[in-house]
Amino acid sequence: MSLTLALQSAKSGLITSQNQTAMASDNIANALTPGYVAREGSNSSVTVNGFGAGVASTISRRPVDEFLLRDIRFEASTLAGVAYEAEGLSVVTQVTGQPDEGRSVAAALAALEEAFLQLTTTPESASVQQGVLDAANVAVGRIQDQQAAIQSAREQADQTIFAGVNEVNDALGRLEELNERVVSEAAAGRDVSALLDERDRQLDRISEQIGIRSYTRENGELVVTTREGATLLDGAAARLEFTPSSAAPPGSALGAPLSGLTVNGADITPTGGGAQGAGSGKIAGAFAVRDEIMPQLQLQADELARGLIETFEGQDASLPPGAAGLFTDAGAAYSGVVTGLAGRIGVNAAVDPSAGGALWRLRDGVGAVVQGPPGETAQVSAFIDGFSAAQAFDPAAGLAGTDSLRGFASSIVADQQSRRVGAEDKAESASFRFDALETRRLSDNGVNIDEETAFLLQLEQAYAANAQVVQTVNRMLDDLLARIG
Amino acid sequence: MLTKSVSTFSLYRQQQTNLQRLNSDFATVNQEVASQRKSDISASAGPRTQELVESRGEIGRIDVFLANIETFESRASLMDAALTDIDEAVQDLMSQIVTNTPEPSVGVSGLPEAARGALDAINNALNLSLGGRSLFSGAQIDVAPMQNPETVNPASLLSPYDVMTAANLGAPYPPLTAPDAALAIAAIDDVFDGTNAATPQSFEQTFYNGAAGPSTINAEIGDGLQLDYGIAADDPALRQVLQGVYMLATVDMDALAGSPAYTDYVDAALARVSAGVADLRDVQGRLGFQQQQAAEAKEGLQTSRAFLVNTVVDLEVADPVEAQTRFEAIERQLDAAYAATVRASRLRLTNYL
Repeated sequence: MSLTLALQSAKSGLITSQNQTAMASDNIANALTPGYVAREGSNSSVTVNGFGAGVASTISRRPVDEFLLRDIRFEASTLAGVAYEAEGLSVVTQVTGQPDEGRSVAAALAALEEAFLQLTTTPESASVQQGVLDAANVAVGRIQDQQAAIQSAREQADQTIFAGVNEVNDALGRLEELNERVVSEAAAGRDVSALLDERDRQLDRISEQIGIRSYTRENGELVVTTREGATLLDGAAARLEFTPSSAAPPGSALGAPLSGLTVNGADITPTGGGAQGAGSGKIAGAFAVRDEIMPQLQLQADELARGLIETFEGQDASLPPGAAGLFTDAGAAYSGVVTGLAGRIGVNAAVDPSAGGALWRLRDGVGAVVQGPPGETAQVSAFIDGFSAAQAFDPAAGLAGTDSLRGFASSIVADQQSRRVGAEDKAESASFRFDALETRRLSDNGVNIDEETAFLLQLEQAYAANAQVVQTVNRMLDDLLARIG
Repeated sequence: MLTKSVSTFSLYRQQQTNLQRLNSDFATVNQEVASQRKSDISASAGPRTQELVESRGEIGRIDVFLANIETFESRASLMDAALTDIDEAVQDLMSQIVTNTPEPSVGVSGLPEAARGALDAINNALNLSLGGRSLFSGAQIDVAPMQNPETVNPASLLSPYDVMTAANLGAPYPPLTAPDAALAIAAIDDVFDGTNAATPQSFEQTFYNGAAGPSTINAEIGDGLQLDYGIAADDPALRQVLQGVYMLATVDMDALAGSPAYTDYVDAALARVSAGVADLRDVQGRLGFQQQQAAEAKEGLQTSRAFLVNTVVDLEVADPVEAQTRFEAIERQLDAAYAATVRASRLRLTNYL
């Protein structure tokens, strides 16, 4: 061992302390950076011809549990999907209201039935007749509000898909660039930790939008596919394609004219029924809302409108064949086209004085030409019977195939709220699972400031000690030179 | 022992998430304590949400049914009282008729006046209204059913008294022989029994201004439960009573009393009055039965309503004791969480250097 070797050892100690100080400060600076993986250093002693020659250190990214990341991204996709479904349903249930708020279609139909029941006692009363007209208008308004909310939810979902596709395309573009840099930097032996962190962040962005799988080749290149196997990144980034629609009216469906989702021309539409249809992520949730959930709710509203129109047409003895009853389909009798009927339903102008009609037709029948005896209630009783009579409803609406008008309206409210609550419960469960895994990830890969601070203290002492060695060796060399000089 | 490191970000995130959840729970339970209602009724009702919606609808209908029953009770009791008045007026008349059959007594000349008095009482009872609504005019509730006997009816241009003349009856009036009596009685039967309803001389065109056809009033008193009650003035029972009374009120008793037609004519009047009264008592009996039905329906509805209200309360109302307990528990948790957050924030190595 020579003084020169001692100096070299001390120098390597100083360099190591400096490097590790930089690492610790980098860790502390990024302690709260999402996705940052803590750097850790490892020291190894250097020997030259069997003699100790100092220390060498390597700074590296703490090992990341790829299986944990896979699980986290799976849960993130699941959470984003069910959370969006819950959000979409709450747009509609905000309009429906809770059972005690009296804003639902069921409450409106109940109020209409009560108004008719009151009319049986005082059929001659213009104010009671007006009450029936008002209740009919409210019922129509609530059904139309339902359709408006459903349509709004579909349009929002369409826009969400578009935003999600742009997000994914942007992230895939970034990943392609990062891949190139990781490969080249790693080949040159440079530290790629920051690039790997950024790559993981982009993968997290994508996994929220669409469920993914990924693996890394030996050269560090990342390959990304959807969970269903469609390639998103393999060398070049794929491009998701989706054409947003300006509107999603009733009857609009996937392909007519609502866009599906493709990646480099291959269909991965979640609701398309294909083998590679994306099954998770916010995009899948938005497709489910747009193409499955809301169309079924639309059918419920349309069937309710149809039931109301046909009941009042059928129960009205005063109507000539083909004439519209109390409720109309765009001002006329039911056209036979149920799609969008919830938006077309209206109250017949023949009963509305402000539209040239007469209130007494609510008692005598919409088709009555002359006013009948003011105490006559037979037609009113027939209308009332219509609320409780069993009738057929389309089973595709997801409710009972046979029910009364009253019962069907109640089941719409219950079904919507039940779906919303179910989706929120699923989202909450998914959120708990995601939080638990994310907490574990942060614990495994994150920075503990106190530990880094304590480490800095050690580094400070080590640096001081190495500096002391340098100073001592320097004095010794000066002494030697002074004596031989 | 392997000690696992905990990242600072992870700690912050956990604290933040916990505080968020606690604050959210606190806001929820605070709303429940303040409003006494569950914050998300559909979520807590779960599969009973439809039952809740239907219960609310049913409560609304029950309230209308109860109001309908109240209205029915008012109308039915007035109708019953009117029918009783008619019965009493006719009983008085019948007792006078009986004293003058089969032969006229000394007081026979007072019979027409007594009949006119009974007619007035009957017409007044039948023209009874409640809240501007005639009770005995069928569906034509906006008109008094009975025409004043001396006033010309615009529909026929005849008054009821005009009809009860030889010229309009097309028969000898007053009848003076037994065959004349048969003719007069048959002609008067035609007026009152609806045989010639379209002619001006008919009951429908001159005596009665209400609606023709089914004469009962409808009352919806329950789901699928309807009461058709009451009677209109053109009911056969009342027609018979009115016929008998008119026969005595309009006939020239001085001429009739001394003739061979007297017995047949007065017996015919008495028979019609007594048959009508007997039928009216059936109507009253039915009305009484319907009042009992309505009372039972009311009791049933009130019981159902109380049960439904309990269901709604059970599903919507937050238990105040439970809500308050949860409120206090979450308040303590929040308190502890905030204290722990503050103390943890001070536990930094840098604070001790």
